[in-house]
Amino acid sequence: MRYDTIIIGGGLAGLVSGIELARSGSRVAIISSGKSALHFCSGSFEFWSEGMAAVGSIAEHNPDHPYSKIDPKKIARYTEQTKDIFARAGMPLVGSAEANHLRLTPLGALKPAWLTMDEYVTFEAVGVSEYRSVVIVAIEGYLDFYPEFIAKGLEQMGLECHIREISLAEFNRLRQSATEMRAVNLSRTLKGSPLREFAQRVKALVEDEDLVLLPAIFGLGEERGLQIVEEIVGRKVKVAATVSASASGVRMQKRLTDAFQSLGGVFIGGDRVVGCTIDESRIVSLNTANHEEEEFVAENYILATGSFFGRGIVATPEEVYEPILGLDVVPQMARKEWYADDILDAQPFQKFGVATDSELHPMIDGRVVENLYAVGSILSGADAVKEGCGAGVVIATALMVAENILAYKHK
Amino acid sequence: MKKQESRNISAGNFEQCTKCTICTVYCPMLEVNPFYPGPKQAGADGERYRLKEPKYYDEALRYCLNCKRCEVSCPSGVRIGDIIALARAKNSRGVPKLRDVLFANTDLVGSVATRVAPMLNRALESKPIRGAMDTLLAIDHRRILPRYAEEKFTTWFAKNALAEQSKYGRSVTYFHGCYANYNDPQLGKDLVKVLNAVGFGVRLMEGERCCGMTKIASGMLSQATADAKRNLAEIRREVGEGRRVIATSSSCAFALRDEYEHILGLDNHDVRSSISLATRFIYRQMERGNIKLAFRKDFKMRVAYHFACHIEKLGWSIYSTSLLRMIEGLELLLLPSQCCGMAGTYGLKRENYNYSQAIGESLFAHIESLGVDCVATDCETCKGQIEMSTSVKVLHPINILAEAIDVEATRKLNDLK
Repeated sequence: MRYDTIIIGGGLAGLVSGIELARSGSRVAIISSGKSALHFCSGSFEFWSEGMAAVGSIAEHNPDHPYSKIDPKKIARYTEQTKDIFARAGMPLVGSAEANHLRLTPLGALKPAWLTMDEYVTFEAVGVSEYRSVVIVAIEGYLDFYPEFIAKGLEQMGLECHIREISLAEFNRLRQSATEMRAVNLSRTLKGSPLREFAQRVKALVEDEDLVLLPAIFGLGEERGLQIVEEIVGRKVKVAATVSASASGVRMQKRLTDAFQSLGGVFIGGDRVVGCTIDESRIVSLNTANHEEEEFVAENYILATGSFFGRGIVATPEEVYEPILGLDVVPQMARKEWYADDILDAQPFQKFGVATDSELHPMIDGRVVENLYAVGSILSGADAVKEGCGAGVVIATALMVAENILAYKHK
Repeated sequence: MKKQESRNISAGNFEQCTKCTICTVYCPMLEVNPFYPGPKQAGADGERYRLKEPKYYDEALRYCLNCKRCEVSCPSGVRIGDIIALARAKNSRGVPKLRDVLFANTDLVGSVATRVAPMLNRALESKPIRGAMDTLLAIDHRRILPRYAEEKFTTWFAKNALAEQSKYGRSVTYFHGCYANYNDPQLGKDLVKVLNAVGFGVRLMEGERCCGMTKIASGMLSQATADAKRNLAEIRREVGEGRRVIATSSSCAFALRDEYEHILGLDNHDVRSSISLATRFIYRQMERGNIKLAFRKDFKMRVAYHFACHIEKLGWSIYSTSLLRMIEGLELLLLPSQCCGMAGTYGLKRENYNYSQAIGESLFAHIESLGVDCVATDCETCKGQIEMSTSVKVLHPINILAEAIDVEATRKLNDLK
C-alpha cells in the first residue's frame, strides 16, 4: 500500500499532523496500536506553564528542549491553526498565543493553560472572574467529580460557591455497576428525554447564581448536549474536568479521527508496526502485525507513538529503548539516575525520548534517518509535568513537521 | 538494504494492563448492560483474583460478546477478550443448554437442516413454532433465524463447478464455512464466479469442519479443538501444495488464524499467514498486477460498509473497502465502526435479545438515514442482524463484486478464452 506520508501513532500528534497533510491533498495513512492518551484529556492544552511571554527564550535556557527547534515567531500561527482544526472538527477552543489563561483541575487547583475547549470554565487570571456566584452540581453516586475541592478552587477566585446534588433514574441504572459509573457512560446516557430531564432538574436547583458548573459529561450521547442544557437552564452553564476516562477526550479522539478520514486519510487501528526495511538512511517500507507481508510504502514517515504510556519508548530494568525502529534514545544514564527521590521533584525519566536533529529527524546509531520525523511526546528533552508543555510540544512539532513536508513537496 | 525486526512484540498478558480504562469506552456490552463488569474488571483485573482463587470467577462474564473491540482499543497490547474467553471456558459452572449445543454445532445442524429446508424455513417463520422455541429452547421469538438452503454450496460445487476448476492455471482453496454452505450458497457461487473470471480455479477441502467459533463462544473448547485440528490438517495439505486458503466470513478467518492459537492453544504459525480473506486475496492479487477486473458499464450502487467486529480485529476492512472503491459506478459510504449486537449466535438467545438490539440501535438508525441500496459487510451474522433490524438488504463485498464485473471482459483482460 502506497501513501505520500505514513504516520505511526493515532493520538493527538499523529492526528494533527495527519489532518494538516490530508487537508493539503496528501495521501496519508495512520497506523495506530490501541487508543491514545487523548482519552485522559482535561479539556485543556498546556504550552508553557511559566507563561507564553517566556516562549521566545526557552531555547536559551533549555537547548535540548523540542521547543528549541521551533521558530518562536510561528507559535501565534500554530495557535490559530490548532483552533481552526478543532473548530472544523466541532470542538471550538479558547485561548491565545499571547497569554495563558487558568483552568480548573479535577482537584480544584487553578493551573495555567494555552487552549481550552470552550465549554470548560476558564479564568483570565487569578482574581479576574466574570462570575459572582456558582452552583456546582454533583451527581448522586458519581465518584469521579469532587465538588468540595472545586469549590475551594473557585473560592480563591472570589466566587460564592453552592454545592447541590441531583439524581436521575437513568444514572441509577448505571449505579448497579459501581465501578462503571464513569463520565463516558454518563455522557452516553445524556441524550433525548433523559438529557432534557437532567436539564430540568439542574434548572430547579439554580437560585440567583450566575454560573452553573457541571462535571464534563456531555457530548457523547448528544453532540450538542451542553448547549441543550444551557438553553433549558437559561443561565451560563460550564463544565469542569472529571477524573478519566474523559468524555471530552473520547469525543476529541473520535472527532479528530473522523476529520482525518473525511479528508481522505486512512486510519488503520489496532495494528502494530513489526518490521521495517531501511536502505542507507531512508525507510523503504514498513510491515505490520495484521498485514503481514503487505508492505506499507511512503515518501515520508512520521513517528508519533508517544512516550511511555503509548509505548513510543519502553523501559526495562536495564534500558530505555524505542521499540519500532530502534532509534537512538537520550539521555542514556544509569538506572539509579532515572528517578529523583522526592516524587514531587522533576523526574529525569520524563525527559527521555528519541534524539533528533533540528528538523526533527531521528537517528539510528548517530545517523539521521532522512525521510522520518518524530513528533509529540516521543521527543526527548521535555518534562510535560514540570514544565506544563505536554500538548504544546505535541501540537507544535506535529504542525511544524506537516509544514516542512508540504513545503518540501512544493519545491 | 537492511531488513530489521522491530522490538515491538507485546507479551499480550494481563500484567501489561496499566488500568487506563480505555477498553471500557469501547465495550458495546458495557454501554447497555450495567450487570456486565466490563472488560477491565472482567479481564485483567479479575484475572489477578482468579489466578489466586478460582472462586472469584464472576458468572456475569457470560455477557461478553467476544467482539474483541477491547483488544483493538488497548494501548498496552493486552489480549483482554482472550483472557475473558479463557476464564469463561475454564471456570463457568453453567452446563451448555440443548440450545447452545444446537447453535454451536452449526455444521451438524446445517447438514440436517438443508435436507428439510423448505419445511424448516416455513416452520421457522411460523409464530406458534417460534413461540414454542422461545419456551422450550430460550431462542427469542422475535429473532428471525437464518434460512437454510435447499442445496448445499458443496453439492452445487460438485455438480456444477468442480470439473472445470482444473482448467485454470492458478488455484486457491476456499474455506466456505457453515454459513455459505448451508444458508447462503450464493456467496460461494459468487466467489467462484469472480475467481474463475480472473483465472483462478477454486478448490474445496473435503474434510472442512466448522471453524469452531460458535463452540468457542459457548465454551465448548474440546469440541472446538477437535474441529480445529481437523481443519489445520486440511489447511496444511493445501498450503503444502502451494495454495492459499481464503474465507468469505471474517469470523471464520479470525478463528482459523487467531482463536486457534490464543484460545485453543494450537500451534498454527506454519499456516497462519496463508489463511486470508477473500477480499484481501483479490485486492492483493490486483495490487501486484496478477489479475485485472472489468466492470459492467451500467452498474450503479450506493453502498454503506459496516465494520464487523472480527474484521476490525483482523485489521482487514481496508481490503474490502478498497476493493469496493475500485468498482465503477459504486458510491461507498463508511458506517461508524460499532458492533451490531449480534455477535454470532449471542443475539439469538432469549436472555441476550434486548441487549443485542440495544447495542445495534444507533447503527440501525444510522443505516436507515442514509438511503443506500444496500449495506456491505464481511460477516454473515451482522448481515442477519442488520436485515432483521432495518429495511435495508445486506450483501457481502463478494456478492457486489460478482454483480458488478463484466465476466467476458474480465476473462479477456486476464487472457482467458
